Amino acid sequence: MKKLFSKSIKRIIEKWAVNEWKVAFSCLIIALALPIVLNTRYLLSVMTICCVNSILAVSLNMLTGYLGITSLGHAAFYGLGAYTAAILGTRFELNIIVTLPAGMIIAGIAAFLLGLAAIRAPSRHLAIITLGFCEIVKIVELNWFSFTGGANGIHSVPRISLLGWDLSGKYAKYYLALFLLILTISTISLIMHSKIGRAIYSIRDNEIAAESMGVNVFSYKLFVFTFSAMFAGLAGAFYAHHFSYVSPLSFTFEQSIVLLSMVILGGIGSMPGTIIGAIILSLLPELLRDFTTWRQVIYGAIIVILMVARPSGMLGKYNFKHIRQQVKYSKLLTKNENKPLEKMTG
Amino acid sequence: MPLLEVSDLRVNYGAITAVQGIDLFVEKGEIVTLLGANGAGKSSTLSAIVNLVKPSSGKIMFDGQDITWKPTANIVEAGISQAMEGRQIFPRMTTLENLHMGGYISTKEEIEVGIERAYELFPILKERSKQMAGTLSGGEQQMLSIARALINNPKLLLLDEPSLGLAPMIIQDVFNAIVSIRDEFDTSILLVEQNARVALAISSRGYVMEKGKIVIASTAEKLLNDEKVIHAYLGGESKALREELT
Amino acid sequence: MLFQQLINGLTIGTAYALVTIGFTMIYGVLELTNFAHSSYYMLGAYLCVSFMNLIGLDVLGFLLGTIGAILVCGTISALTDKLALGVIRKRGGAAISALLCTIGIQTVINNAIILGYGSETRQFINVFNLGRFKIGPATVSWMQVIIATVAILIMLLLTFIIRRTKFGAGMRAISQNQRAAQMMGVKVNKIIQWTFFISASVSALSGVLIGMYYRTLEVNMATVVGSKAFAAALLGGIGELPGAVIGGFVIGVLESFVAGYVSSGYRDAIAFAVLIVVLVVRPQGILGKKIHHKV
Repeated sequence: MKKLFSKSIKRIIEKWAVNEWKVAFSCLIIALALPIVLNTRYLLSVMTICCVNSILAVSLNMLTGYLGITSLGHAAFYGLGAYTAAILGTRFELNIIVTLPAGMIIAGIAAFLLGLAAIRAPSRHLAIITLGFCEIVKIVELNWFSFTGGANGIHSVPRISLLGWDLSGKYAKYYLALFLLILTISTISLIMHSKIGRAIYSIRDNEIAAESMGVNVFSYKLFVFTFSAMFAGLAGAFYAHHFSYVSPLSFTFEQSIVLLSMVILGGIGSMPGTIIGAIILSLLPELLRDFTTWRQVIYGAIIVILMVARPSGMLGKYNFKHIRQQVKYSKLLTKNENKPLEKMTG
Repeated sequence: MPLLEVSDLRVNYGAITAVQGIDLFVEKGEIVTLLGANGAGKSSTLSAIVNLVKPSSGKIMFDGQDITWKPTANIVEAGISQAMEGRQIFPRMTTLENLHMGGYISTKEEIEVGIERAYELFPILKERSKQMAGTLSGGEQQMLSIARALINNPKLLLLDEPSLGLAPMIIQDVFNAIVSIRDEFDTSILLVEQNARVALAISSRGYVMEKGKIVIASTAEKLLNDEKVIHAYLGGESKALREELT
Repeated sequence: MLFQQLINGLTIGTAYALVTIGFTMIYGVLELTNFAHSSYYMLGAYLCVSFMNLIGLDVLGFLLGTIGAILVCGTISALTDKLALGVIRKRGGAAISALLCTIGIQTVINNAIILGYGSETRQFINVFNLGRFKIGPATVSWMQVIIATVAILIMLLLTFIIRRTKFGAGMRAISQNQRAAQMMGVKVNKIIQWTFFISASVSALSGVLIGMYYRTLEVNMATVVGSKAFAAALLGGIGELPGAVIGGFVIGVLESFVAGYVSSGYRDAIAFAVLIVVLVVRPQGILGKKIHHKV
């Protein structure tokens, strides 16, 4: 029974790997069509949050999964983006055309400066350095009352509008979030499939070897650190407009942990895995809503059980490219079974 | 009954099979060599015997008891000790502390005696006793690794590539020591080596592994004269090959 | 004023040091950042109060309650290794998976406490009531003296265990080379489980002491101490017991100075800012040894 189960899982994964593009495209169609069925304000809002968390998780995965640096402070950049958008929106009444890029840039600058000082430190120190940075940002947000509103946060961030259109409807917000998610996924995928991507993987697998092959480890690390923070800033800026309210308590170290959990749970270094992880951990609190008091306990227990059952995350063990090649190879073998051997080797 | 008897041992790493059903035995007082190229499955075999790598199937009998899948600590207590490949010493302990670790399962008196004998075998270790093991030279670390495996007075010693990365002069020292370990300590030895000529010279029998299987099992003397072995592991051209070429 | 700040800082530093020691012990053996560690600090304090309510609000009740809390926390911690973390290790899961697992354990324990005890602040009755005395301009309470004494004793005891006993030799061997340790006959899993037991009991004990010192129990006391323990461990040089102690004291004293002279709001930020600067300048921490990686 167990064998049958693992065999069918293997077949599904193989099918998925071979038809990766088709699956991705179908998921996109489903995501575009979902609002037809799930059309209440609550459900659309949950789906929008799924998109925002996916942007955060995908960008963190670039840093943690592809480059191998564990960050416990991703929420700091998320918060910086959100506060940038909230302050620009409330004080200067700027719209998303300005605030979204501004959120990205501010988060990017902060990451660049932090990275410039600290990215050379060993990985386990970076985890705590980013944690410390996250705490510092939160404490500044809490205490710089005149600028950030302290613990009260910033209220009535302007609704989303673009060139005079009001985009603050439930559908418009969802589609905008989905658009931003697709933008993030495609940008990061493009980079990871380029020469830069190969350099990044080589750093993760063996830093010293990469350096000796002429990869400038420091600049690549700094680049990925900054780049991933920029997308967190983007998600933050959108978040500020979406809820029209920001508070320091949304961008704590605990939030960073939740983001990291999404990446690890789905399977570290796997793009589809990360998105699945993000969706599960975004939906889980909503599904457990009825168990208010037990919610967090169950949430923690589920994480423990999932990690024990699948220590590499849900899709962490599957390298799609590898599986594709395997399938191709085995097909080639069966095809050529009856032909003479010389033709194959020659 | 042989001291160690391995039958139909298989080791898998995920989808890769490293050892595919081998049989071997070591008699009391014997030195036996396991030859083979890189990746032939020699080290996996040794690791599987002490359950550092879990065998997927097979049976390992030692000194009359079945030790398959027993915890490594229990196997060590039963009397098998291994000097691991790549000098797995404890770098941030001194030479002496490393030797003490070798007697983790022994009593204080046994450790004293063991260390005394280890110093006799490798006098250089006595000079280095207060030095951090991580700062020893490669040859010294290798000696430490072998000496440490002897402290608990094992019945069977597994040696994984004792000559790896050593200067030729030191290699001879190490192999001389291996012979005296057998003679003085009454310890049987299963030796994994790439340096086939030196290893076979001190062994009574040998096995040749290829791609996870034992392809030849014979006495050391016969192996030293075997065409295939000469060609593949002793660096000489075989007669058959020479004829083929001309 | 300065002297008083120093004494208060040293007291809170002692607590950080005690929590950090257990944290750094596990890190030293497994290179695992154990997020659940600070939860035992909180759980220990809460359990002690519960036991005292059962046994009696006096010195005897306190002592028995403390022992009970230590045993329960240690057992839970050892069980988490046996049932979860050890399984992940055995299956060859990545280090980061074990880390996420400890986060899950932390979430369960912290929220189970809220579930069981409610989220309002509770009182921890000080059964000693020993009063205080003056050294120069500063006031020192006897409770502070007790905390410092117990902390020093624990540190000496742990140093003795690690440096002089067979168990400690096994621990050090595992931390340097797990495979080789197994080959020496070290029962690796058993030693790791006991390490989890000891580390959580020390954490629980410090929770009891500090809870009684402040006379309150709060549901966020774990998270507050937890991130400080990380910082202290790294500041002192992770994996080193004396480093953990120094790191804990440095952070405790710094905090009380910042709270006293700058602003209490920025207290926590300064500790982390110093940590970041130290780690950038001296990545191995104050006492840590530089590890050279061989190519």
